[in-house]
Amino acid sequence: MDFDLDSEQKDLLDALGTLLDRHAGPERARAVGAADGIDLPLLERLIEGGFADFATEGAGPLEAALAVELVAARVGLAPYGSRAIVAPALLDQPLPEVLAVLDGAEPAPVRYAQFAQAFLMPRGTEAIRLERNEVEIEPIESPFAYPFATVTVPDGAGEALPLADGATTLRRWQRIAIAAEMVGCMQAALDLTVAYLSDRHQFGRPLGSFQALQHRLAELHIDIEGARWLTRQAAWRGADDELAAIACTAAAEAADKTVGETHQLSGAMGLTKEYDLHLWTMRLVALCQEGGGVSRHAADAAGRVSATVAGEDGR
Amino acid sequence: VKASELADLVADPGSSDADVRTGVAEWAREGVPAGWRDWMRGASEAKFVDFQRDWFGRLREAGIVAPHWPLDWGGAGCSLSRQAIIAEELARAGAPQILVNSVALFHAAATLTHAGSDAQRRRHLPAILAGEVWCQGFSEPGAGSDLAGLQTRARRDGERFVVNGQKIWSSYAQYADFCLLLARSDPEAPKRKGISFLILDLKSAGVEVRPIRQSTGEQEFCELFLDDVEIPVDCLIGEENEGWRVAQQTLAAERGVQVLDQVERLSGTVGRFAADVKRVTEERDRAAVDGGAARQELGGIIAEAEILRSICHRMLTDLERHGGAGPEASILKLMYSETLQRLDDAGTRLVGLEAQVERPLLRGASWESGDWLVDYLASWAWTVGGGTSEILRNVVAERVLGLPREPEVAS
Repeated sequence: MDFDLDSEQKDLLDALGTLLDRHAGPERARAVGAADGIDLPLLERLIEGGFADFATEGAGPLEAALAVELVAARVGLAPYGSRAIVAPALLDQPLPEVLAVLDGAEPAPVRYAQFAQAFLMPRGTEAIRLERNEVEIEPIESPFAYPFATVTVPDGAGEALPLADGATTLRRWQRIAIAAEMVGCMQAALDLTVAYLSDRHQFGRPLGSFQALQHRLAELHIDIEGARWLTRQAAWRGADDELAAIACTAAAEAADKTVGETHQLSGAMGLTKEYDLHLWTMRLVALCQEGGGVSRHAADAAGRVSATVAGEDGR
Repeated sequence: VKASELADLVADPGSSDADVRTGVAEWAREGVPAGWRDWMRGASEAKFVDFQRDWFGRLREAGIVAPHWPLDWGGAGCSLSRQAIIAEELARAGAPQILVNSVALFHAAATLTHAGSDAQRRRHLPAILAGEVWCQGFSEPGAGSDLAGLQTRARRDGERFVVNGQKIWSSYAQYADFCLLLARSDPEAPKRKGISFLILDLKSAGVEVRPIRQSTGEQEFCELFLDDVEIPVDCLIGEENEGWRVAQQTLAAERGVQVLDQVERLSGTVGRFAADVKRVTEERDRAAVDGGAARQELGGIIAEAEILRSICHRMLTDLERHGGAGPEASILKLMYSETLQRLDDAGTRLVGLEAQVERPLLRGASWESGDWLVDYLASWAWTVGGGTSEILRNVVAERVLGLPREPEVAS
């Protein structure tokens, strides 16, 4: 994979950036958050603008991952990762506008579930598609990040997708979507913190001029960059199972650190509702846990690697 | 054990540490309101303040509201080790914390005891035991870590100061009667030499208090706006322009005692984490929850909390024997804050997406609610407030290791 974006990718991100300038951003996110937490008009604009069906535009998963990063960085509160990355990889047209991904049949909080037309869920080795009327949906009060609802799946409900290894396919594309969204949120949280520490003066100089703080920001930047390139590479390689697990592990670990460091470095401002930092950090706390969280991603990554070393089948 | 019996026991110089420990534990069985965590969940602010007042009153009757105060002023005059015993037993009994009255009981009392006039002590110390609420007016929008750079101006005008400026991060100021105010009284002097320490009556004309909404949902912090506020000269603590020294002494002296209390309480949070490790690993049929890793993390945290406790006790013994509150208090605060934050982070990761579910706010539990994400957010109040971890590391580097000071920009 070429680590430099080509001119088409740059054009794509420019165009998307222009759309997001107009229809996303912290102010819009606060308004959406105060309402029901989902920006359906934004999602529709993204779909109409050709930013959700990259295969038909002569692009692919890497472009989708780049776009998901950018939308997350601009706090676009749309269930965009599942629509632009997961749905095209697993489902036939027409794709559901809002697709929610379940980690399993056990009742658990699911992002955007109360707005979803369809659900995907791993069961055994299969990926199961469920329609809205096949599951029970109970919205949850959750003021921190995303709209969540508990989804209960009756035994045996839904239909298996005609894929050889559906569960794995679902999980690896879900990981690309989560990791890309985390990378976008992390970058935005870091950018905000860098700007804050550059502006904020104490002891007669910008806080960012203190080496003790510079080192921490530098390390954070390296962790985020690492997660970014792993994620892009995994997307480019068609969500290779091992790479996707590794990318999601790196992103989730970097996310945990990003939350801690950006809050600490923002001082008491970081604790207030009026400051934008929580718009990204609270989403990172949630994304870190999705798809089973870092322990699951790491266990899968380790499982794949040790299977390869032992020359056995991965599962 | 009745409250009055415990009060006598604590005040009796002849009673042993073991007696006090048993006494507090027995009193706490009745004295700590059972189920307070249940009825503070989703409680209104008014109910929270009433509950704080009631709890303060119970501790006062039992003679343990101010174990660290001198006997002359209605305290119990306890040694640090005995204070630790009382804190430990209260923590073990799951007692609520003193929050609304905490600045009065710790910061204001220490300031007045060390640097106040007799008249100020007589006026305020008994009133604080009776429930007078204080807040702190130290930080400003432009003066956080660089506290000495504060700009709130106190202009001397005969027998009064006229104060203008803005203070921020002032906990519970919306309920407070008085404020410990640092203001610049000599703008010409070097920044540490021109600050005075004043007692501000919050009922004075020109004072406006505005609560700040936090990401946890609480509104503990406030902003104070001071517009031509008049403060009589007899409300000056210590000498004019000597306020920086007064503030340093008292904060250093109190950092230790307050953290001691928190260190003892950490066991409660560790216990909640342990219970959640058990619950999550048993209840959830998820390959995602790695029981082994969770237990390993729990083990590490238990060890860390124990290390913190023992270091805390060793330092307090040193303090008691050799006097003075040096950089040890900074080390304790640093260690406590970081341990607390790591624990709340671990709890948030452990419960997974469950952390996103909003439960009605458990008022008065602050960073001990058991709602891990709320507690994690609240833990930054510890790593940022009262000297950030970064500033405290500077203190350790400069005063303990003797490293050269960071070059200072003249101002």
